[in-house]
Amino acid sequence: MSGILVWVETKNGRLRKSSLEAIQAGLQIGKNSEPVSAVVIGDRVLADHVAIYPLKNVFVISGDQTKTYQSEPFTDAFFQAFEVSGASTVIMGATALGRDLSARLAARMDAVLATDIISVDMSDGLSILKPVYSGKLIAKISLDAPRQVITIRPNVFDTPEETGNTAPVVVIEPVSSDIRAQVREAVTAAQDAIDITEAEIIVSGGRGVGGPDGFKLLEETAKLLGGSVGASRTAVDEGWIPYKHQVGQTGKVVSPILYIACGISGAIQHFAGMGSARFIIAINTDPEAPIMKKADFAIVGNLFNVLPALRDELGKIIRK
Amino acid sequence: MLIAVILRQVPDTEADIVIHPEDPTRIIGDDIKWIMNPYDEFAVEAAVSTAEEHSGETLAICIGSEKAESVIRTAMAMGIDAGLLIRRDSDNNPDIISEAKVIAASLKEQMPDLILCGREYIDTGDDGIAAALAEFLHVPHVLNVNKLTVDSDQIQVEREVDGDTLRISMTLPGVVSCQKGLNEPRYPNLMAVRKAQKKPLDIKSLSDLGDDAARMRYIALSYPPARSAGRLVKGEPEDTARQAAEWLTRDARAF
Repeated sequence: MSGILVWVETKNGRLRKSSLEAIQAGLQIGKNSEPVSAVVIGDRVLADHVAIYPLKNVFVISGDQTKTYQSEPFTDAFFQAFEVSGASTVIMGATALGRDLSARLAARMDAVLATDIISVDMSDGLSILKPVYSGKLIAKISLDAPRQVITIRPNVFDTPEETGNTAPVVVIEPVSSDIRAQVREAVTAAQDAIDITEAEIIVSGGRGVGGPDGFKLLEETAKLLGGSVGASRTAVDEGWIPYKHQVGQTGKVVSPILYIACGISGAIQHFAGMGSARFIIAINTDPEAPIMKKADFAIVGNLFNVLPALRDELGKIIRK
Repeated sequence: MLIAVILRQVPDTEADIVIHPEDPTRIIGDDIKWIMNPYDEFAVEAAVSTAEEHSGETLAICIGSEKAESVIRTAMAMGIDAGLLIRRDSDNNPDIISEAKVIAASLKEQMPDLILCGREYIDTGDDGIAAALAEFLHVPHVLNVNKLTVDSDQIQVEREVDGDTLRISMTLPGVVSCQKGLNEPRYPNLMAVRKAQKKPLDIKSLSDLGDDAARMRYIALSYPPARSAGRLVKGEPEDTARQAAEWLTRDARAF
């Protein structure tokens, strides 16, 4: 038995981009010889939006227990689809929920688990590349097991092309799960910002931002560019911005298309979290700051003067 | 109430990681400082403070080489009562699912009421130990908690997902992974460090606990492509901003 099964994660009635990237990773591993199928849990309507991609089947499981994500019913549901599909490899985005589901599922499947991968290599069996030591090194790891679960780093793989056809949608009736970790309440964040791990543009601030008021400029800029706000450990430890924005070795590892580092010196621990950004623009009053030697484009100047000007220029491009 | 914490020894966050010149599958481990995985400190603090409040006992478990004993001793200095070192020769193993299975096997005779892990191992970047361990033990889990209160047979926790805060009730026994912000880990004093040397430490080997053959193996480690300095500009903000925007669209073709 073989085949690849991708979890398509949904949020607020939409497919997540990282799930489409997971389909693309699946097609790369399958190389047209292994079929790729998708699993949609909870949102039945969205199965049709998934079926336009080059998939063998789209499995849909929805019931009272899977209206929002909870670990146990989602693991049960996915495992049902896994058994029906006969697949040996499971792929999903390395999102907060992908990380939750993948590990429990891998244990149930008795699979190996490769997290946050950035590339696959099919030249001699299946091996993957992933950052280790918080991005200080890249490890090539072979997966010598009959079953694998893989999570992919967002913004690294492309999204697949639509086929013009529709893959068959297969409905699976859910089993009843024992829910011992129950979500009692979800407090939605005030702003609808994209999590920094998935953002394509990150406007990030460090000591040079000077305080919580300074971060308002970064927030406005990020919002206008459709991005999210990041921060160095210093800014978080000072209490200027919540921990969820922290980029670096003890924060989040990000891989945006554009990272704008404002008033960040660029310590090794910070660089470990954002060194894989496709493009880095740094704004700093100190031309000797370490970040200025690693940025693709380094601007010497006061961020409170440069960032508004940059925001206006980039705004013109992005609106086009 | 028995509370267990799962620990790992990792290179210090400030350490320069150097690939071994004769064996590209491992790093030079002798010249660097090894510490308790930073997120595990939150788990140790949560275990010790919960045990103090509910008159419980605490156990630290670590898979690692001989030198990993120091991580268990550090946890003991922070207040953990007893330790189990599961010996392995190499420094780290990429197969987190096998590790979870081994730890689950080690807990067969004394199932803890609560098991705490750090959010993520900063060496391999793995964050699967908590959920996989919970699955092998047939108990629930919650990851990345930044608030935790223990009632008698259940706990109330909070975690963040994509900016939203989830409030979750979990029945015990269960597994939780701990996020920064959960607490302020204590610094042990000299007396505590000395007392830690006398606390009971059990040592087992991986094969005692039925470890399978390696299912994942490092083929090679490499350095990420170095980022070299790009353009450096100074001048009027409007000019430098325009140059940056032109570079992004024309040279970099970012958008």
